[in-house]
Amino acid sequence: MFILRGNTIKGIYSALLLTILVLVFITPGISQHVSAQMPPRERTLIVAHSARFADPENWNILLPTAVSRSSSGMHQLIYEYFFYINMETGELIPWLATGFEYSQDYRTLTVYLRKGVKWSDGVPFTADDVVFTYNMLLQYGARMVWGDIVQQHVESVRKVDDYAVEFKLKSPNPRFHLIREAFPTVRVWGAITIVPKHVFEKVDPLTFKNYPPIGTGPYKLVRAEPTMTVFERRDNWWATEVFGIRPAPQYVVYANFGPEDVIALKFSRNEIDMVFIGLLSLGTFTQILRTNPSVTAWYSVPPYAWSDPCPRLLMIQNARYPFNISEVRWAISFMINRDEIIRLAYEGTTRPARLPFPEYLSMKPYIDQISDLLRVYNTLEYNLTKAYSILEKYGFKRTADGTWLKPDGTPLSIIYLVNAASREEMAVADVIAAQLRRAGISVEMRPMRDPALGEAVLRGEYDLKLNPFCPGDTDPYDNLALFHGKHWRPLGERAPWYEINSFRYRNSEYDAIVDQLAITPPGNTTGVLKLFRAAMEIWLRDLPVIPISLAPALVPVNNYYWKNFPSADNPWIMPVPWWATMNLLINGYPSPKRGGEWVGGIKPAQIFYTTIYITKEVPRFRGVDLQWYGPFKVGDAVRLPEEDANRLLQAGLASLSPPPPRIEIPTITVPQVGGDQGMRELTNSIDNLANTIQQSLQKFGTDVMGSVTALGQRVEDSNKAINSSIAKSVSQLSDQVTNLSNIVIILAALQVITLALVALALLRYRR
Amino acid sequence: MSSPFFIKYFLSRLGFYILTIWITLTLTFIIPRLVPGDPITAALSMLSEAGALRGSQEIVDEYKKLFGLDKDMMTQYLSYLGQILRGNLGISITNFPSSVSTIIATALPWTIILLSTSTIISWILGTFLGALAGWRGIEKKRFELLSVAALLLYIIPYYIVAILILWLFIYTIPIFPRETGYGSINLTLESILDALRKSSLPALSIVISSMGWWFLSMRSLIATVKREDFILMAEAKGLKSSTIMWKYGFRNALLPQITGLTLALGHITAGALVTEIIFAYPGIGWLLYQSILQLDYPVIQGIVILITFTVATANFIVDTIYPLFDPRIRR
Repeated sequence: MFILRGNTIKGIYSALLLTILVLVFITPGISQHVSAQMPPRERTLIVAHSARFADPENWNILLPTAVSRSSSGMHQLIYEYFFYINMETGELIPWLATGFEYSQDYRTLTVYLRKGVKWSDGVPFTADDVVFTYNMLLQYGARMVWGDIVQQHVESVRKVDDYAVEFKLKSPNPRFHLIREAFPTVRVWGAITIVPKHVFEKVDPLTFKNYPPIGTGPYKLVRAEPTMTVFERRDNWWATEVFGIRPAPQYVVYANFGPEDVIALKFSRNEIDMVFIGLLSLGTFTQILRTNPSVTAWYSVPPYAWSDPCPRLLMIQNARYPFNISEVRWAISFMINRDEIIRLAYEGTTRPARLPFPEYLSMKPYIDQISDLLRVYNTLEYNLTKAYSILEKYGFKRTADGTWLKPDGTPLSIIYLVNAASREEMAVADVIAAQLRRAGISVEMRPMRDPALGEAVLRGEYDLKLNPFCPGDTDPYDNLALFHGKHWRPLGERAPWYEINSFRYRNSEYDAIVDQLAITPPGNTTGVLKLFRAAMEIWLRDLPVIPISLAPALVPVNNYYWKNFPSADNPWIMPVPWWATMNLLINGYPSPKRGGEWVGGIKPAQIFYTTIYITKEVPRFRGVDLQWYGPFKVGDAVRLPEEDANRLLQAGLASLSPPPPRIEIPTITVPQVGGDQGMRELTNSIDNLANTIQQSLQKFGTDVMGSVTALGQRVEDSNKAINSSIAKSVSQLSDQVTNLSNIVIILAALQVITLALVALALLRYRR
Repeated sequence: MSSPFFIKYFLSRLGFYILTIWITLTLTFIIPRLVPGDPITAALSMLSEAGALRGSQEIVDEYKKLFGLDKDMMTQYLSYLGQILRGNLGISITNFPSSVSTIIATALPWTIILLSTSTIISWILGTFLGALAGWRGIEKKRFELLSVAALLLYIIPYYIVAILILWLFIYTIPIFPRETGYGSINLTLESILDALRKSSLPALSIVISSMGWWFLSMRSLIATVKREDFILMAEAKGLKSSTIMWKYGFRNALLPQITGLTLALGHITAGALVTEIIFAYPGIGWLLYQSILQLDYPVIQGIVILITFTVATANFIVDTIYPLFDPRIRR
């Protein structure tokens, strides 16, 4: 070790200098080499989430332990579903399936699959895959995701022909096609997934990792890491052939960038396009909004947020005194000031909830049906006097300092369970606890985390807990079914799930109505509305849970690289990147309401056009600018977005240079000389010749003119393109120069300092 | 070397070692299972938070049977011991069917690269600067400034340093290229250099933040050594000030520092949780944290055993190489 000999300080400084020099010269070299790994920014759609995958190669969607299908991009980009529901428009959109039909007794459902769908390895998607998947789920049951629910509803599945499947149901069920856990209709978040038979039949489906995954979706997985997944557009996607559609982003990246601060920094530098819900708080978002004009959310002004389909309801323990008395539950409801909660806990980004389902436009017929009930049973009312009179009626007494005592003299106290990992729940709990304490009830808040939290909730060890109530979108039945008595379990035993009656409500009258609703075909028909009203009459009177708020879904988007995200001004679909409907957000979809016309999709923020000449027939297709082009025949001169033009050029279907104008030289037939007829024929031929020459000249003229104008146009376009690319290059160059100059400055500074130190050392130790 | 005393000493050390291992394995088994709840419900409730999956008793029961969680504690314990002693760390519950060794192997190289380089660099910087400050601090003002700076760095909480660095290098001066993911590490030089470059930001934050500790401890050690008699003797002999400092003072004060370094290196397999969260770094710290939240018993056991093994090995290495530095121990 040379340090332990003499002139050590010189040695140290030299060592430092050497290290710095080495680092300085190696690091930029390495960075040049590996920065080529990230896909080009303007062709990538980047989404920020907060998940991490301990094993990023675990892509078996049938197992609950696979990587999160919503954070990895699996059920958005790799897999597709029969139908998707657009909550904004109320449409049931056919995708892998084209339609369905129930039998008269609702015990059989026939589904018609779309022809022309292919898996990413080219194998056609047929009824065999559907039958295989369902048989697997029926066989393995609860060992696979939602397998137990499939077993509950489906008796058997049969292939009718290559593109039709028949489901035999265990009991008549006109809503089977809406049960996302048993049928591939995407409602909230996702649905059951059909997997390829030719892949899964060769393996043990319970231990198969399915990496890389094979699906019918528009993208293929190219990189899977613990914090990031990268997808690349497939050229052989079935929808390109069938519909002429291809997604605009060539690459999609789903990545975990770190905590809120990092996401905010990168988002404001336009390095992220969409952010998952809950990652940026309202304060951070408004700050970014001020500094970056490309950033927006559903609304560009307060309340900013989209309305999440799962309303937040305060579960109250029906099985424990005094909350087994419905009027006491109403008393608690009267003590809660929802406006204050919205203002303080949600910072004004949402509205109070008055019912156990969301209030999208498609729910209006249902809500209108019970508007008079809502006036009598006002779930939004904040009225301490009413609350107090109810309590007094049931023998509760109020002491001088305002505390409420139960009839047996002990103070009325509530245990409020909160999920410590949810910012929303903690904020709301603070406000509600304060309000209840103000009214004289002592509240013990218990922040807990999973797994202890899950246990406590399922066993009913709480008096109050806030919970989202899903699925809730365009049909209220599913949320009403959560309150059914068949889910009731005694305290201490585990309830089926948190919102599935962990609050232990039981009413046989209500159950009967819900059972009836279950076998009535969905839709806002008179029969359904009548049953709905009857159910709500009981529900509102009993108030098994207390509605608090509609959930705000703040999904920030950045319009710097990609445009046409859905928003309040343009609500063509839900703005949610973690739902399977993200596929439709990127591509658009064929709208049933508009007779199959393709709507929506995202496009690049900057599109350059160029003119090319078609050399082979091109079928109709949609360009990256979301306009339809074609069909084109040979010889057409077309003005297309650059990306589409390049694609046609590379495929050999077009060329950059115009075809040469063709001049036809007519053949002259020399008539036999013979008399009058001969003369006439000669004159005719000469006339014809003259005409043909004239026509050819005219055609030649127009062709030349056409070519010249086209050429002129091309030159113009090229000019514009060159100018803009020059501008781009110049700005990039100037960026790099600035960066470089920063680096150079720092390096120079370091060098100077080190040299100065060395000089100092040498000076000092000259003796 | 094979005196009866030595054999007895060796056997007692061995017995102690085996006892330590057994106690570790047992505690690693018992403690996660004391937490109320089970891994299946925990995994399902994390999924349902996204509004996604909704758990059901059937799924929970099925998977409990699969992992043998429905058997009684003694059977589970014995099968666990048998598995571990055969070198099989088992299969993760939350990431089924991935094996624990795959999961750890994905994260471990990143942790090692990050923490070993940053620990060593911060140790070197802290120790040498601390030595300079401790020896000359009283005379020269600039060394006293060094102490103030080091103290400042030591006091500022780590996450603030980390976020400041992020702000500086992402928002203000984008020197580091737009990189997001970390990829995987294989044993090629190129891959390791790439990994080093990708971990340079987190490493910088750790070095800045932990340098203060090494600096302060070295400074006080040197200051103590400076007051010893043999230093006075060396000065009286007429040796140059720098020779005395480096050959006499530094070498003596270094011993506890080296112990500290080895122990710190032993702990790197525990990862650096805050770093990994802030920089979205795929290391072991986050893995351990996540597996505790999810009550993923095999992964928790696997990581804890790994940490124990590494710390024990580090201790052993310290014991062995100490004589190289401290002649007083050579015997």
